[in-house]
Amino acid sequence: MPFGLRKRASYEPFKYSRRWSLRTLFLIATVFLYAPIVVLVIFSFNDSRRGGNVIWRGFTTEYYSKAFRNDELMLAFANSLTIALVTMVVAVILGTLTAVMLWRFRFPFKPLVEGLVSLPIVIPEICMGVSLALFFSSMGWMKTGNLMWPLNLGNITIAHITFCFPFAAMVIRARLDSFNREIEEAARDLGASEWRVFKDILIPHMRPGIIAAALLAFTLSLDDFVITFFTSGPNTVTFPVKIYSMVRFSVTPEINAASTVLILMTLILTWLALRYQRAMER
Amino acid sequence: MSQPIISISGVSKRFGAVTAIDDISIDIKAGEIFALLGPSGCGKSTLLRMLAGFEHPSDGAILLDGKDLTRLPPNRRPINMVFQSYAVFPHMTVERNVAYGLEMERVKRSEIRSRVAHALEQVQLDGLGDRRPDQLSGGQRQRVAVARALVKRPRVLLLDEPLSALDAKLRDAMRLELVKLQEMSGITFIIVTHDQAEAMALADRIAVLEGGRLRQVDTPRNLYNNPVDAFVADFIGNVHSFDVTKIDLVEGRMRVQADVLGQLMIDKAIPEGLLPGVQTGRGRVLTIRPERIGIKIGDTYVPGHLALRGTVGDIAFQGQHSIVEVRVNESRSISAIVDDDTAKELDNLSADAVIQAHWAVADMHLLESSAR
Repeated sequence: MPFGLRKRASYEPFKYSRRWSLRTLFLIATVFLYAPIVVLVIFSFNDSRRGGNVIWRGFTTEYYSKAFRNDELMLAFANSLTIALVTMVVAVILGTLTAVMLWRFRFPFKPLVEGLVSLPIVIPEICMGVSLALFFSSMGWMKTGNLMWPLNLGNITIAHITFCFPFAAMVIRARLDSFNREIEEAARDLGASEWRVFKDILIPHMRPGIIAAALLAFTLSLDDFVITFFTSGPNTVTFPVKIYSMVRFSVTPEINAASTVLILMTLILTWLALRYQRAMER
Repeated sequence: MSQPIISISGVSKRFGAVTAIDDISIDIKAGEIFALLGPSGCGKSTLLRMLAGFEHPSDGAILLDGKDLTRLPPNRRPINMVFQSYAVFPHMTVERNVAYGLEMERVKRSEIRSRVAHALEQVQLDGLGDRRPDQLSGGQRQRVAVARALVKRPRVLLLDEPLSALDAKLRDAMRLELVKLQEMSGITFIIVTHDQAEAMALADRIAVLEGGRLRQVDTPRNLYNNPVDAFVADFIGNVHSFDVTKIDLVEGRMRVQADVLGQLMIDKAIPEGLLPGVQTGRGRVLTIRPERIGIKIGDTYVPGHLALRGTVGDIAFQGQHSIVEVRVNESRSISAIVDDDTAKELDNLSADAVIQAHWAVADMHLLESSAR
């Protein structure tokens, strides 16, 4: 055999799992991604007073019932869900309108407007948190925390909508790129008004994007900590902020249990959204 | 003469500094298949979009049955369009696609159902009403687009490059079907195409556009036999053209000096502005169609014909006939159409054997050159 020519095992493009190096890399990535979550879930059933305790002391569901009986935690949970739901709805509406505006129309300073819309995505969260807190206190809105539930969540909800809707707009805008303008023109040609075109043609086309955007806004809002921390008052605590304050005292399996419930909820939501999207495609 | 259904009068369209349509006037008769033909960028699509209402003329007016609809939005015109991409609504079934236009008109539900069923039958899609567009072939999608427009019973149906996306076999079938649909419905069809063969086979009349300007409107036969200029002659079928270098009048006849051909006497209508004794000729060409050219082996005199000597070049077999290339000199060759026997004969000739391309002088046209 000539020098330098060595017969090498050839791999088909999708048989990368045969190479041990790639397999190892995949394994490591998976472990780092999921092992902490698995441990968190397992130790939510650990019969130990301390959640940080890595010694298995037997199976119990006691901490789940304890978490559900913890009124403060439950209130924080309800707060988070309420904020996330309102944020999702408003962010999707604003995001849809923004996306359609940026896609459909030409107007002066459009690049500037486009940049401004995506600013909340690139701005460090801590800066947004501080600026929103300053804004709310200078407007005297920090006192809204004393209002009746759920009005007292107004500040946090506004803050969440502010940082969520650009993401929604981006996702929906991307979806609009694949829209064939002739379809819109065909609808106009067949007698549809601008509004009917929007309702009958554009919205159905955007639907997968809207669902994705809604899901994204919901999860972003549900687990946001930094911005919420700056805009929440003593009476308006969200789930992540509450967990943070609990961790500062002690890590108990109760926190594991609460987190597991949160993970489970997100999983179910994602699954539902995917299922719906697939049904739409059919 | 009856009133035209569509009257395009003095329409221009400018996009910034670019003039897409330059002062075009066309009258389209009710019940005809009319084709807008031209190379890409000639403005034919812009003109069609103005008829549909997606663009508005910068100048001029478009009349339908004598009424001005220049400023009417597309949804308020009794004109429907079949788009080049078909633009079938992907999230609706075939049936709902066809019904959509009637729903917009608030037609009664029972009537919608029967009209949709009839339209689907017309385009041979009956039984496929429940399908979604992604379950259809390209040809079927186009039928949906046609049915969707026809079901509205428009005064005029616009078709944007209706056959360009179909493969050759399907194209022929669809072409026949479009003609049949037009005859059945009696609706005026306006077709945009860049394919002269398609326009010739489909249309009753053709408007040839180039560079935003209207070159000629006529029946396919007249366009072919009496083109107004070299562009039309070349675009409608093939043509050989010879640059004219000099024309003068000798006893009321034209004496034309042309490239390759030399000096000829021509009995044709004398072009406007050509005065006796005045020599012009620049910007004009003499043209001849390949099928008017005969081929003769050897260099014996062909009585009454003009003949060019040359050698045999490429021979392209086309089935019933072949196209043979006659090399007149290094820079010029002429193609002619010959039958199979002649093609075989020519094939067996040696490379330097003399042949002649010959034609009657009367078959030539003296036309304005397309380069302006």
